[in-house]
Amino acid sequence: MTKRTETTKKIIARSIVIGMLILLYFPLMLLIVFSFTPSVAMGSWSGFSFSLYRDLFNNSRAMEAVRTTFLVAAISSAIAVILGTFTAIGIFNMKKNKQELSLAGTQITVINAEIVTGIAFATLFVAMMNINIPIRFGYVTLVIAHVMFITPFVILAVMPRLYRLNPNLYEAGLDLGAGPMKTMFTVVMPQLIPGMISGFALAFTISLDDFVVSSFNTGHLNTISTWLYNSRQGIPPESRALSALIFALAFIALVVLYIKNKKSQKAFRG
Amino acid sequence: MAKKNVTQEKKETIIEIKNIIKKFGDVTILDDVNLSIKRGDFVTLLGPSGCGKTTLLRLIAGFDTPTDGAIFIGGNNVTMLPPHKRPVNTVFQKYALFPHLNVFGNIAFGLKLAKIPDTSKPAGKNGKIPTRKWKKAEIKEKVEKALTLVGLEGYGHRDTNSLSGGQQQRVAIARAIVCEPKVLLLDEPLGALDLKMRKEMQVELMNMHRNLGITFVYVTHDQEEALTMSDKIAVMRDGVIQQLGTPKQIYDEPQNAFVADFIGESNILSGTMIKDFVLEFAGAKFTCEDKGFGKGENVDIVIRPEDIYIMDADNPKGMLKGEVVSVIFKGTYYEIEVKNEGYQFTVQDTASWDVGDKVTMYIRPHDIHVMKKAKTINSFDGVIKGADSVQFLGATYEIAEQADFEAGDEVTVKIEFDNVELTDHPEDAPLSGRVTDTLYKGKYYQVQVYVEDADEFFLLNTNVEWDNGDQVGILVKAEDIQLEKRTDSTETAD
Amino acid sequence: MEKTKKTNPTIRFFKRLKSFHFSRSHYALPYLIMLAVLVMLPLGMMIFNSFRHDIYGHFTLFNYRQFFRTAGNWQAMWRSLYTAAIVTVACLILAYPVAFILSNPKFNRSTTIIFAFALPMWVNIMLRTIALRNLFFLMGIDLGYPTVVIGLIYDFFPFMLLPLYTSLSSIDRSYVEAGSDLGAGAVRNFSKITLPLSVPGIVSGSILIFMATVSNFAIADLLGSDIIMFGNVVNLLFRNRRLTGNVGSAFATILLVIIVASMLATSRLTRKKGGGTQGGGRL
Repeated sequence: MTKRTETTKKIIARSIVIGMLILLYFPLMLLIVFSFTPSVAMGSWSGFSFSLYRDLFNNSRAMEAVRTTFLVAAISSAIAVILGTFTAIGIFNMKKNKQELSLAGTQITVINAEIVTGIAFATLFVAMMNINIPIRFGYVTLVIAHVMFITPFVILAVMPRLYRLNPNLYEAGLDLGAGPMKTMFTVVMPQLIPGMISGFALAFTISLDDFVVSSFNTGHLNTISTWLYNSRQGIPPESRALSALIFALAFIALVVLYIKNKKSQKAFRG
Repeated sequence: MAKKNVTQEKKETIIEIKNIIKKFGDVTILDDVNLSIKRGDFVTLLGPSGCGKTTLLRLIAGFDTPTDGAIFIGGNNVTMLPPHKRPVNTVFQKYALFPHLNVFGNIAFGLKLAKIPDTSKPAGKNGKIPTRKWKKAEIKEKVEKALTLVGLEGYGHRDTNSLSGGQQQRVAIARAIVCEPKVLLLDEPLGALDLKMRKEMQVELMNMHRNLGITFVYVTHDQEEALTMSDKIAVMRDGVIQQLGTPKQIYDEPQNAFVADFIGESNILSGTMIKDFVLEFAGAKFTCEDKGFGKGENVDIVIRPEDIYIMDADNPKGMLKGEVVSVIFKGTYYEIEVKNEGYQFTVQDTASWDVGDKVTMYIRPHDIHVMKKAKTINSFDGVIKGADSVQFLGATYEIAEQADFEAGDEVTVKIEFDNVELTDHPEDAPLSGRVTDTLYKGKYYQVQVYVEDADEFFLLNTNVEWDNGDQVGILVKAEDIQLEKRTDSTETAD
Repeated sequence: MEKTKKTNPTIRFFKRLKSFHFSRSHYALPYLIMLAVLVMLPLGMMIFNSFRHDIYGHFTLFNYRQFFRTAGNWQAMWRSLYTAAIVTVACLILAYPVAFILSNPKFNRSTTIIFAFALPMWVNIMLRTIALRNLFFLMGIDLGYPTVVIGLIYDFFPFMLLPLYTSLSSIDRSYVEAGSDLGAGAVRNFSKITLPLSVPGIVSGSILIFMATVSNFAIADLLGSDIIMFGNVVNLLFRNRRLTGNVGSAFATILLVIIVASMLATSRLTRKKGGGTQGGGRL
């Protein structure tokens, strides 16, 4: 293969990636640009201003939705990481038949349509209310529903780590005098941390992005998705400011991650 | 074969394994294993993969529990005790170092958890001895001592991933011995190292064993490793200990063909004892140093390749004539294959021969190792006498009611060793004979009874000690006699 | 042996509890119990409800008859199913080259770019949809079925890219190099080595996208002026002032049956082919 075809290939590859990124980011960029102008409809520029941001912070429904979304995502992904890690450890140590069955069981919510899952949760909560269990549609129902459908992603993220573990590691802990629980926490868990982190990131992202399951289980409480859906007849222009803020937040996170990656790569080479 | 001495040695027993059975589902991994290990010994469990040696080690460590039987360590029954409460530590084949801890952290792991008697405080009310944890400075000192012992001074701060395989294994050993266990268990610890490193570590492990005075239980499939390192070797196969002995005993007096074959390259042949000190194999008669076999008894014969001498065909000392079929130079000796009437002998000789040479072979009497054929069941030809009796070896035994055979049918009678009883009164039994051999098997005696009238041997396991020459009656319960239709092929079996 | 038979069941239960031997596999118990109570039981209740009349509570097939009575219902379902198929295939075609390039060390060694593709997932699905809607307005494109499909592809694209990237980058490069060593051309190398090994990623990405698309009704509401998807129908049944929740349950059950049937069919198909995909692959 000549050097020339190699460089052409690289150029083609790079343009595919950059092209896709432009397509992906263009609508968002447009939104961000127009978040600095107060016009109701996008497209007409009525001067640079932060008024949409002010409106956003003054909009109590929007603020409630943002709070709910992030709180539910944080709580349910924290629970999901603990639950998912334990479950992965448990399933990993099962005998083959049980293992396959349990793993398939945990994936029910992943391979089921969200609308079916959402309705099923709602059915349960209504039934619980009917037998006077003190539960109301709101934070609790949202967290329960989110935990149940994001935990499988944590399990999927942690499982490969377990397969890469030295099979004698747990036994080495016991052998040196640590009890089963202590060994699990001080020897096995530290090895799973990278899987737990990516599991958390995945769970958090999916929880943030969810609309369908939330919409059936949120009651009068609003998440960002349900707030925007419910006000779809006249989408509030301050949503543009919200997009810009969340995007900025995510972008900062990305940059931090990039710098950290660079550093660890350098440390690894040095 | 002389009867084994059953008396205890002076050294204290540290590990006692009693009638251990381990099954995984339907598969039996360990089948009634008995083993006692003396304090301070270097004992090797040797066998091919799948023989159960690692399972036995894991049972001692506590990672698995036996299906049946008991394990004692230092006189305490630890059969159901979890691993973290046992006074043993393990060195794993793939090291199993904790990746999130550095070398120091790995070695200090066990020390940080250990509780030691606190002599500074008075004993509690109920005689309870107060305990404390190791102090930081003490831990540091102990870890550094352990690092020095394995030759890794100054490596404490290193990341375990940055170490070579040999260094990682040293850390694993340091981690295991720093807690001063009563027993150190080593599961093929050198298996992942290259040859040069392995040889080095063998010597170091032996030195460590000598210096520490800890009992080592070592698992390996490498015969050479076992022979060079151990005080005692237990050769295992199919979940059964075939032989327990010193390396010299194992090598020089293998108890059966398997041990002989596994422990080193051997010529294993079938032969017949003609009388005491005389036997026949490969079409020739030989003198040997073995006695006590039955006349005409089929035996296994083991001859080491280095114990066969090749000479010119016309040498009068020669015993077996043959022809050289292959010669391979092995660096310090030649491996020569000599063919003789169907048997092919492997010979190691410093002199070379040419393929096609007509030669003769000489074997010294004490280099001919004669062993009993491994059998587990008595098998005789018999004839059905009626619905409830069968005749074999000239005697008639009662059998359980059966309808499969008719009187006069020829059958093979099978009786398991465990199902035979002996009596002092030969007149009470259908069949009588003379005890010709008893062999102590660790837990029971295997007794061989010679039935003169039929010129056959009866083998049985018993807890009672019989002396050679005892006249005994052979009793078998009706339900313990198994009958099989005789086919031509079964007749050729020994 | 004589007396144990008559012991009180509570005592027996506690005795059992005492002899319960905790092993590592039991770490999965909490979630598996939650799974039974919070996922399997509700699904069972939903199916149970689907056979009960909303007002009178008796068992009936009325709810299922409702589905076939109005053509709009099964047309919406059919629309949702084929839209999901189109969106899944489109995402696969668009995401595969990107995942392939990003996972190939020849073109890319950094893991950061893949995060750049995941970043829009943080900006809420509704906000992304609204951004697209605004773009359509600016460009003067009328809302309709095509805009719905474009919206679904745009919104769910990262869900296909991530599993594809994971499975492609976990392929041992030495396989591919061995392939070229043996003289396999680039195309053959791809079709015989890379593609089969990335099947787990394709499967899990496709399942994610298909299920998300078949369920979604908000995107159709925002990007298609009068496009009715199955989700819209079910959503309406549950938010109706009139009691029609059990009818909605019946509709959801029909979708569930279709999903289970197609899952079983595909898993049998892949098994027949001998492709050892590990239970749908992993993310």
